[in-house]
Amino acid sequence: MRTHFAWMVTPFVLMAAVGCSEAKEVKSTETAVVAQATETPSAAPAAPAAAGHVTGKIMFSGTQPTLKKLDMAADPVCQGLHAGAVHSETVLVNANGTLKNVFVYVKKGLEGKTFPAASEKVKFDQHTCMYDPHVMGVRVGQPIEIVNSDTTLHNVHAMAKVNPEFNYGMPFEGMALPAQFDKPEIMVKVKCDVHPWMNAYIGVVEHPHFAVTGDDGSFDLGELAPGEYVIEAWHEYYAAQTQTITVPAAGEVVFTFAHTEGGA
Amino acid sequence: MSRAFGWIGIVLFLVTLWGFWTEYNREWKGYQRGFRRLLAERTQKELQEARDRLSGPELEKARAALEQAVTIKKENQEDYDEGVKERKAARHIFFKEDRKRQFIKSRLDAALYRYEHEVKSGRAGEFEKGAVEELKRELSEQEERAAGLEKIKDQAEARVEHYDSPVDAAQADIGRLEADVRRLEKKLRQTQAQALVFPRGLEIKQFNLEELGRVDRCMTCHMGADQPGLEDAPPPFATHPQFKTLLASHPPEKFGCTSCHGGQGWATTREAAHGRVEFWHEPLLDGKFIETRCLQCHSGVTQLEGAPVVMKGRQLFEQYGCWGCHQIEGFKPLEEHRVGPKLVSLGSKTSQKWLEAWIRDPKTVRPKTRMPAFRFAEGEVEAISAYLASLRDDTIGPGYAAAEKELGHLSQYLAEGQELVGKLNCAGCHKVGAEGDVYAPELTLIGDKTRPEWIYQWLKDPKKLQPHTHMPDFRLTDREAFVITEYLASLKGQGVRAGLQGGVQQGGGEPQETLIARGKELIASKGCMACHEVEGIEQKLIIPPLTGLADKHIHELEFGYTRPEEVPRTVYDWVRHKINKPGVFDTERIFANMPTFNLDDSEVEALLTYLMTLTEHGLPESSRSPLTERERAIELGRQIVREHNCTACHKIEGVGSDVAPDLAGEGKKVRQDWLFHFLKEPRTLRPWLDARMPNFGFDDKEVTGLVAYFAALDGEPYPYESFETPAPTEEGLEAGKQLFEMFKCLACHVAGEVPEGVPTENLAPDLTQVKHRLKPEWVKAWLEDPQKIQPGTRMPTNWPYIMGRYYVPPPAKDILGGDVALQIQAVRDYLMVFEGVEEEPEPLPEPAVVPAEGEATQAEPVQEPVFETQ
Repeated sequence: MRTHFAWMVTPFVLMAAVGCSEAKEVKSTETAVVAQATETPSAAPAAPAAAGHVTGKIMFSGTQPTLKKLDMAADPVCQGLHAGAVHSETVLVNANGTLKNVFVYVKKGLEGKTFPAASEKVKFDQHTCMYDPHVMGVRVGQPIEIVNSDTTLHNVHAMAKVNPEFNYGMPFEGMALPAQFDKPEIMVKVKCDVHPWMNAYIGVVEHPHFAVTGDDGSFDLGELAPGEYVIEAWHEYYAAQTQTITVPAAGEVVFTFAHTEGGA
Repeated sequence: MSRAFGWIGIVLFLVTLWGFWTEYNREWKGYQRGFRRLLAERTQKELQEARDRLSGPELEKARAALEQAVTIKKENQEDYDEGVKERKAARHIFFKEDRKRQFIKSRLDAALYRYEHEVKSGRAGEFEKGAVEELKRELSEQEERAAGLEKIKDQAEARVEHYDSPVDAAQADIGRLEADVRRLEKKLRQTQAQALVFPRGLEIKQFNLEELGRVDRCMTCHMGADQPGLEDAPPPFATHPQFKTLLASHPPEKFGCTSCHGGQGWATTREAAHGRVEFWHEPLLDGKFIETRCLQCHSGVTQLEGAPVVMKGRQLFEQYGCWGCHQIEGFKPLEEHRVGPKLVSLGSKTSQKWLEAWIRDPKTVRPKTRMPAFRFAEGEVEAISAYLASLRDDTIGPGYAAAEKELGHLSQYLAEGQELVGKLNCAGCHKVGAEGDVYAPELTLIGDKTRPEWIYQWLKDPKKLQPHTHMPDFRLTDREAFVITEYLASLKGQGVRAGLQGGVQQGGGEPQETLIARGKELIASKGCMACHEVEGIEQKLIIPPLTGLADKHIHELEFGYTRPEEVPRTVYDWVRHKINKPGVFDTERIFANMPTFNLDDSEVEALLTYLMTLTEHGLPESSRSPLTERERAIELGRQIVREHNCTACHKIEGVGSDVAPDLAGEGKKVRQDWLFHFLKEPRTLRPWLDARMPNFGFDDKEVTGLVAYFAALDGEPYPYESFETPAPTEEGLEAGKQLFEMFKCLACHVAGEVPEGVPTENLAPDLTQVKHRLKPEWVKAWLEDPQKIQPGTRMPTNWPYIMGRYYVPPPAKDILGGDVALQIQAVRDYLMVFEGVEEEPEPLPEPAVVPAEGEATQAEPVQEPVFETQ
């Protein structure tokens, strides 16, 4: 049986560029470019995965765009926290050619299933006048702790569309506030109105099968029961992409985000 | 012979029968019979559906249960009968003994009374005491006996119930299930009885409305109009399509039918009732024209739910300045405001050539203009243009020349001007290229028309050139006005349009002086003054009034040489053709002076609908619904808002742009005295932005109208507003100041002077203005939850209410006992006296947060500030 699966898990990639409100600069030609890129077996053949365990990575093609330099002059406290120049985190390409801060989750295929509630608290920090993490995922109802680790005033303004919008003042270092989102929402943008350069994105999903890519661009969506699933990879600058996979046949799921032109 | 008489007799008999039949069988009776048949059919159908519902397993189960219960009862008939007998005996004995108990109790009560009386009056009461004791003993014996008998009686009853109750329960179940069917069966019998071939009780149904002078018999045939549930019935039986909305507020008992629908109310045949007969001038209004009737009572409003077409027509009548010639009630007098600009200083503004092109056919120069095209004879256009071009103003020019001298012509000005045009939202009123509104003249090719000197002067002070203009004063600096002028003057067209530029052109052969004199005459006779004020010229045109236009008999209208196939002989068709092509009814003796407005079909129909409201036979005053004071204030406010196009920048009543703040809740937010002064002379609230509230030069009437409007929208009292006067204590103010500093309000808010050299992205309004501008209650509500008042606002709350409790940062916990309401009030009170600060407050670092005391709904342990991420 295992060898049989090993044959079936030869990389297959289906690309679909799905328009997203947050996406900019995505040309209609991109789909074609991407499709071409993925036909070549450039993606490393996947190691035989355990049946139902879905993993993958986010590749980046093209040249890394020039990132905007952040001007923190409005708040001397913020400026003082950084010795050199600070750049925007819009597009972060890792050393291995993968893309960081991509929120990957199972978009379809888990409807009607129930999952144990997520009680583990996640921290959302305002640190050195930046958000940490810049992109994160939480479960519906999962407790979030919003922390201000700076000695300046931040306001945490979650511009949720499906969930209730909130905007709390956090004037003290070490101040912490609880929060949670009760409905799934891709994505909740969070900004600080005092420091207009600060922004972050939180993906709220009903199930635990989601991940945010880190420094190696890989993701692990955990064990999925056999069946067909739609996986979406969301990025703040590029259009979201989806792939339909079949578990357990699916091997490593690879998405490629291509940068065409301009700075981010 | 006798045979002939016999035949004649038969014929006469048949004729008599026929006479009776036609007399009996009136058209309306056919409808009534039809309606009754419809009801019977529908009931039959409903009944069938109810029966179908009943054939389900539930009923079968209940029936089986009943059958079983009855069988059991029958099988044990002897036991049952015995039980009934036993129950009868037991009941009899029990009631008898129980009555005895009641008597003994009464005697005891009487004895007790006497005993207590004796004790109170100081006598010994020995005898009565003995009687009391005796009766008490007797009562308890009797109670015991009765209780025993009750038990026996209950047992006997239970024995009978054992057989009866299952029967009752099953019957009740069946009854509940069958109730619908029975009700419908009954209804069916009734409706079928009514739907016989010769049914009884057919009668004319009429509303006799003495006050309105109407007798409406429409519902004799339209029988289902007031019966909900017949929405899908065929005409004429269907429920009124606006049964819940319109009919509810316009009951036919009060308004009848023809008041709104037209037609001949008392007629009892279809054709006559619908009024499509000769000599009846109020035919049934179908489709859009039904809205004409709304304004019989709802005149004086500019927004009316359910009547979009007539409201659009009214708006067109207003916007196109029809009222300039055809004066009717409800529009401003001409002296106060005309739709077009005053014809002054045109020679300093534009060229004679441009004027000629414009006057000849305005739409070719600006497709969206509201200026109509007149039918001129040869040479008239040139004469009018020559006169207008002779109007010069020497004060235009020096301002521009000075700015030009100082600033020169730099290529960067074009981009700067364009950016400023964007930031000031000129496109909110003017079309500039592809963008913009047609409220004000299009600027796309303004460079062809207008000289830069004039543009500059206009931008600096519009009211100086046109005292009645709606163009506001943006308080532009010389440089701002100059760069915008540079940009606008650069907007020039190509080809033919290029020929419009340039200086005064000489008329062909005719001396300029006589040309000018002839132009002046023409302006007076062509009716230009209906829309434009021209100094020194009196209107010479006589224009028929439109009052009572809808009442006009077709014989009063001149149809010219048109044939009835082209223009049907109705007022509607006459007006429609007249709007579309004013000269359509011209003859040798009649020349229509009315110009062509080039309206599209929907506009023509809307305008026509509005014009058809102009009747002198409206409903009497008593049936109208007069506007309340609040409604009047709102109506006036809406008119001012519309006239000045406030929604080009602001959202008002949910409509408009988001260039400037949404004014929802403005009446609750700002003080009326502040608003009055602000509207009179706006000061820039956010000086760091290029966008600014311009000065519209409102007169006192308009300003008070607007203040009253915002008050009315929010249900605030006007003109005497009342609000809480903060009376802070020394301690409260100190606490407010502490909190104000703790929360670092001035991280975004300006206090007096706008800080220099800092990015302006996050700046927020000047807090030293709070006391002059905002209502104290509003400030409290705003501080507590800004998102609630203005969703999406950048203002955060400092007292987050999360999952059922308030969170107060620890350093603030000791202030005013951590009481959120007191803290909010303290900050508000401080803001109400805030004059600015001298030194930067020190930050107060302290970790963790605890819920405010007394506010927590459930006590949770204090959270550690730092957690491992998942």
